[in-house]
Amino acid sequence: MVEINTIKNKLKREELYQKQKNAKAKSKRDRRTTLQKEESSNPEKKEKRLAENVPNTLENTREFDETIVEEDAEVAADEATDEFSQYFQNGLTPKILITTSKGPSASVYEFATELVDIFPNTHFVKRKPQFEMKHIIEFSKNRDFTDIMVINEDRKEPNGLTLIHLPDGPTAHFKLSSIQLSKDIEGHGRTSSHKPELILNNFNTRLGHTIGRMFTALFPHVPEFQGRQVATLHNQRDFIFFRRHRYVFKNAKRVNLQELGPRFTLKLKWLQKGTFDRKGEHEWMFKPEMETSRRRFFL
Amino acid sequence: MNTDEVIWQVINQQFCSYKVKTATGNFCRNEYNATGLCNRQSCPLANSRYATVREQNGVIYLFVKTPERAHMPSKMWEKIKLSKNYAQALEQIDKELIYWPNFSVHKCKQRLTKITQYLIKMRKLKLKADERPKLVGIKKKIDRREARREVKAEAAARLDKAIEKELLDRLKSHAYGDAPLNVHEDVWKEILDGEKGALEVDSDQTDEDDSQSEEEEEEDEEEREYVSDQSEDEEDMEDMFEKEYEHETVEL
Repeated sequence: MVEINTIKNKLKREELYQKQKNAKAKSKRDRRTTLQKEESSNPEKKEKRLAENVPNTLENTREFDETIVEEDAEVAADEATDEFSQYFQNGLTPKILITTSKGPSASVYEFATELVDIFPNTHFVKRKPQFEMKHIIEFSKNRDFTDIMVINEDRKEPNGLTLIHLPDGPTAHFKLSSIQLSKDIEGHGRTSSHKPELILNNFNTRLGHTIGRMFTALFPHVPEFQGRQVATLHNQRDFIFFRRHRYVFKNAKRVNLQELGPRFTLKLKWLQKGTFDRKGEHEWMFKPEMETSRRRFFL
Repeated sequence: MNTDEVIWQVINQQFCSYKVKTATGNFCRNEYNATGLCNRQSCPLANSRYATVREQNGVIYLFVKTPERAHMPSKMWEKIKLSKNYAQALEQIDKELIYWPNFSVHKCKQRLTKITQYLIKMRKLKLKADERPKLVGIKKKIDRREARREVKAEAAARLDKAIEKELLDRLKSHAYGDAPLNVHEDVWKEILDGEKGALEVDSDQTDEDDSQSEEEEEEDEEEREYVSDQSEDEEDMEDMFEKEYEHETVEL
């Protein structure tokens, strides 16, 4: 066969290249259709093929992390006595305060309204310029709030969320991105006042556990299943995706989901042990030099 | 003094690297200049006797230059630390620059005043720094990288599938109880039947007394059917009677 790249005539060269391309595609198609026919009659072959050809993903090839928790009694003991024990063992109902940074814009208020809808028993308070964070924390403690959420803003768009768990709880700051309000989601459903179910996926490490428990402590204990609402916080490669759906079990194998409410993505930037203290030390802080490896994740 | 005039003529008419010409006037960028303007009186290069006030690290000094030290450039400026007390510092300037022309003394005092004022302001601002929003720089490269990775992570997450799987797992593991409110009856029956079927299949596959176990199961089912019909009726009747009885007691 003549090497295609040695032919100087452009028309002829293109023609031959197209022929070669079509021939390749055809052979691939034929191979796949024969494979499909064989496997439709013999599902074991398909399973065998899949089992042999497992692709490498970032999740498969994740760098070894000693902080990944797997049924550890020590971790369970720690978690029984951490700052969330009030919620998990004593059944304290969460009461959340939502506020913003100073001088917010309209989109922040819209997002705040959505947040008030997501978490039951929430109060939104406008940020007054004379009150600093330490004052707000003090006032909320006096009024028995369990959590504070502060929406930070940059250039008229919300870009950060600080979550402070109240009686001396941990403080976590997240970067907010990809916010889609419910009105912008096509085919979105209407929320009801039923308490949602919670799904937390892939919070594997110690840090992930702390954050996961922080999120759990925002929702009421006992969900109302007849409402069929579910709120999901799914961690994938250190990005926490928040979704809300209304579900219906169509049959034993399929569930139909209708998206309600906003979507947004969170990425943990730092975690502090006590309540918010600008000068305090951070238990975990994200630094760009940490992400030297594509296979290294922290949550 | 002769040399001063020569220096000034050269600097002014030819080139001075510290001179900045603007529409409004000429400025002098030399750090030792007391006024900041490019004048015959204010030029530190063209005056062998000169004084300024400058601050280093928040401490204010009076710098004095005399013709006696003009030949030793490294030791030309005498650095005198001024008192932290503003009034005392003013007196110090008067004392050090006694018999100097009023212009120099006046300009030094003006500089002292300005410097003390801005240092006070800086100290006040530092105390309130906690309450001011902390500005964090935008790191474009990192933002771009994170945005890209977020898109890929979302694709890898396959959220809908993950949520569906989790919900089905919860349903099948009976996490919603035995009569769940969030499922249609038919679907729940289908699942329960599926489980029973799986149990039967398992027991079939065990090779111990297959026939006996089948017979036992059939008998059990028959027995179960018989018992369940009877007990349901009895329970309903009992409930009815109990309710009537309770009503009576309440009325009384």
